[in-house]
Amino acid sequence: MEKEFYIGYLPEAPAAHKKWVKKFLGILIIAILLLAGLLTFGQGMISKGIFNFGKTSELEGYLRMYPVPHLKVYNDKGIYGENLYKTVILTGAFKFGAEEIVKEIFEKNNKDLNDTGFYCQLNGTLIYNDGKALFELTDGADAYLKTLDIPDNILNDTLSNQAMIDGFNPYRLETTLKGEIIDPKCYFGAMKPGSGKVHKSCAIRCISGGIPPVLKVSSESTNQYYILFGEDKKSVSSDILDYIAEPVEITGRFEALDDWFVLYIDPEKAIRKL
Amino acid sequence: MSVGYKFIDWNPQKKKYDAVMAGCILLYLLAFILLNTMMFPEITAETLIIRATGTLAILMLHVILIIGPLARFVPEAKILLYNRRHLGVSMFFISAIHGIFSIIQYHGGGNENPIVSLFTSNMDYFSFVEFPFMILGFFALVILFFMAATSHDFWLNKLSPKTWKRLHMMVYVAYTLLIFHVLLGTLQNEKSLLGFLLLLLGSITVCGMHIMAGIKNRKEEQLFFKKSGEFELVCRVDEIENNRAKLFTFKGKSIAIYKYDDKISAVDNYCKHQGGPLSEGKIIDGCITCPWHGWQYLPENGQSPPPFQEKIPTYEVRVTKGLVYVNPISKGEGAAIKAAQIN
Repeated sequence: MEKEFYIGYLPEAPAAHKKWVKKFLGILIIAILLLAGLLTFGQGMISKGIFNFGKTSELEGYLRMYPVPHLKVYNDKGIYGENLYKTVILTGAFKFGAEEIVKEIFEKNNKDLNDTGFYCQLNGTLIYNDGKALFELTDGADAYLKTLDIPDNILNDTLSNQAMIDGFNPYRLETTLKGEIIDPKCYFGAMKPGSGKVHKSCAIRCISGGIPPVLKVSSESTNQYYILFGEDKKSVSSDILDYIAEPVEITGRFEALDDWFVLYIDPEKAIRKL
Repeated sequence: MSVGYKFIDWNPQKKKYDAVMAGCILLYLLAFILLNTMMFPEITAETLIIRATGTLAILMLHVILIIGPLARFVPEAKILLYNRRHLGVSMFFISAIHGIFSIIQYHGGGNENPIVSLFTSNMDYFSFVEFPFMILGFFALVILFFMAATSHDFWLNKLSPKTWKRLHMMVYVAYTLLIFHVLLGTLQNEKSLLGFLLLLLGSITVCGMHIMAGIKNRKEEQLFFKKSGEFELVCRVDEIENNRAKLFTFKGKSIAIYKYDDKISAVDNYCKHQGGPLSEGKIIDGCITCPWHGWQYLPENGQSPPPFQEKIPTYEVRVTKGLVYVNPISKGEGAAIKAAQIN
């Protein structure tokens, strides 16, 4: 029997070819579904971080510039009746920090950047996960809505009035930590994934654009986050770009900033790749 | 065959091919998106697009590369070869969606031009583990762009089949770049070995099938084995099926020797279109017909029937006492040579 010969431009394929194609398609469809499943299940867990993209909200608190632009927000009462606060790190839109925006807001309100800040209401987009929050000032300096009177419960609390720009603090403890330098905006919700090799370039872009670098230190059960800042009270962003998204060891002195830690480092000596 | 060019020269089988291809693409995207939104409700739209198109593109590239060697083992698989260029162009567009979204997502909106950022943000060029994997994908996409842009007979004719074929062989460079793009990129973020094992399986399948097809080709090639003046003895007449050919090689030259209407003719083995193996073709309507896309040549002069103008080299043949002799020095492209009578 003569073998069939296939020519694509003829109206019909030979019978044996049609039969083979049907079998092949059956296998292909099963393979497509199987691979879609395997490639889905093969992915690691995706961050549960939230970025309220397109949905702005108002937030009030102490607007402060140091060590990074942030809003110190009243959160709750502690078990001894003391005020508890959250430090909400401020960022600009896209891959930019909030430093220039906050400077502009301070200037508009005739406030000194080196002062303790002032109580105001801002408009922006919330980013949050793992107990931490960031606030994107989506509309730039227009994010500033108004200056508010300090609520009584905060006015009477000495902690909220404490200056955060205190220079060298002898009570800061020196420590050496192992972790990964992340950009907090992406990590806590703007991007998935927001850390690791895939995200490395983006993190470099974000941190070089002014988003404060944060060291994520992971243990089996929890993560701790250290905002990296210079011992000389200057940003260390441009000095740590080569270390982003890689396992690193960093030595510095740390102190708490509400729900965060700040790690004061000398970038020339403090960091090494693992 | 190049008398005039249309953007796409549709025919019923191309339409069926494209409909099935589009159906398979949609099926994968729907399945992947549905499973991801069920398993990871927190996934963002842009991440889903990047992952769905990235995984689909690499799967399609594997299928594209497997079709060639598969057709060497399963003749019916030639049906998949016929319109493979549409598969390739579709794969490029899906890769481009992945690439554009990734560049915007990871490099856009910052203090640097996204393309400059692609090359300068991660400068660990001398580290294997930390290598900026995205540029591998970028260069693969550039290659796929040139392949997709020239994936038309107009360019085949403009560039010459040899140059066109060389350009399209770059798919293997693109494939290698993409394997490392995945290996040094997303797989480094995953704790599960599943993705790595699937990639390994895919690479072994592609490489293994190409090696096996190469071995099969070598086994099927028959060498000229006895000289008779300028002519070489190649085989017995009854070793060639009627209306079919046998392949012979001589000093790197491949010659298809056809038997038809009690005659024997010899032509170059490679089709002028995309280098398809004419020795696997058939005589239809008196013409040698290429098994890949059906291009045709007259066996006695190697010329495509009018109005087509393609020509392939022809060779002198003699038949003596049931034995076929061929002069392996070609008489030139389209040279008319009287076929050797069997009886």
